[in-house]
Amino acid sequence: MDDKELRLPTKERLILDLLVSTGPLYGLRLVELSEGRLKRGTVYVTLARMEAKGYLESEQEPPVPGAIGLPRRIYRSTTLGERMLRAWTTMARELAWEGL
Amino acid sequence: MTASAHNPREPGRLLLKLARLLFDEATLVSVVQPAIADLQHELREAGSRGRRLRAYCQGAGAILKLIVVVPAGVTQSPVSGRAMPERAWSEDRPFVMLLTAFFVAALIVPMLFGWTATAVVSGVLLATGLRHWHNRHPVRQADSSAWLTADINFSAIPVGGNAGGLICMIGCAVILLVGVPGFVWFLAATLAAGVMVAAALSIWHSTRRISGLRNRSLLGRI
Repeated sequence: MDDKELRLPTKERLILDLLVSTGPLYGLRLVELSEGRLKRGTVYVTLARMEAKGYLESEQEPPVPGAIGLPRRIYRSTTLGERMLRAWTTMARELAWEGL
Repeated sequence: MTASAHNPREPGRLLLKLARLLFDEATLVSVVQPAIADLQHELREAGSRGRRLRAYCQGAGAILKLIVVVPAGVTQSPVSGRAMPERAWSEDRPFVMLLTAFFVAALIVPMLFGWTATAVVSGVLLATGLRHWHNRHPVRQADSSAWLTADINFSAIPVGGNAGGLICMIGCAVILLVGVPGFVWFLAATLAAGVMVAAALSIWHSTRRISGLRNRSLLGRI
């Protein structure tokens, strides 16, 4: 893992925060809960990137008999994602004392 | 893949078809399908017709934005081998700003609107056609280093005597014609001259029996 992968951008932090505090969610619900900070045109790109990094995992919602259309994809944070969020929050809190 | 459960009358099927032409399976499953699935559920839960229309416009706009933004930013994860989209807006900001500038200019100067709209539609059709053709005729020896950065560099694009070259040539001619209609006679003259030169060359090569000419024939490779 190089330096670039160790960063936790604001939107990824927000997504992890929402998933940890609320539980598993689908993309559009994340956009609604973010109060305008996540955009539905780009949130799925961010989610896929976070999943590839191992911060999230996803699965399709169970099929409902008689339902038509594509099943939604539900995202949940992984242990790595939660650890990353915790570490990042701790670091931000520590650096806040230094006025950074 | 869950497309089998996809009802042909369900909203979003056209967007899904368009995305299928542009993206590989991994990107489709991880990025585009979740967006379309959420849109379909949102429409199903929207009550009135007005709310449904509003939700559809917002959702379709977002998915179109996704389709425009994703292609340059998706790479393969070296660890898992999965599609790994890069940060879309920051990476593609110059492209998006250029596109936005064109649209704003088209709105301010009505004369440019027709040209911009036609150029955008032609560009999308050209890109879709090229991608479709290249999917059917994959390059045997790809230079992987050439694909590390997403850019448009005409000097680095080998336009061969094949269907891809034909599509590229027609697309360039159409865009030029739409932009500068006065060039129509120039293009007609060059087309006629080009056909005559090609016919003369073909006749000359056939009399000299140079091997390989038939393999290079344009129509034979479509």
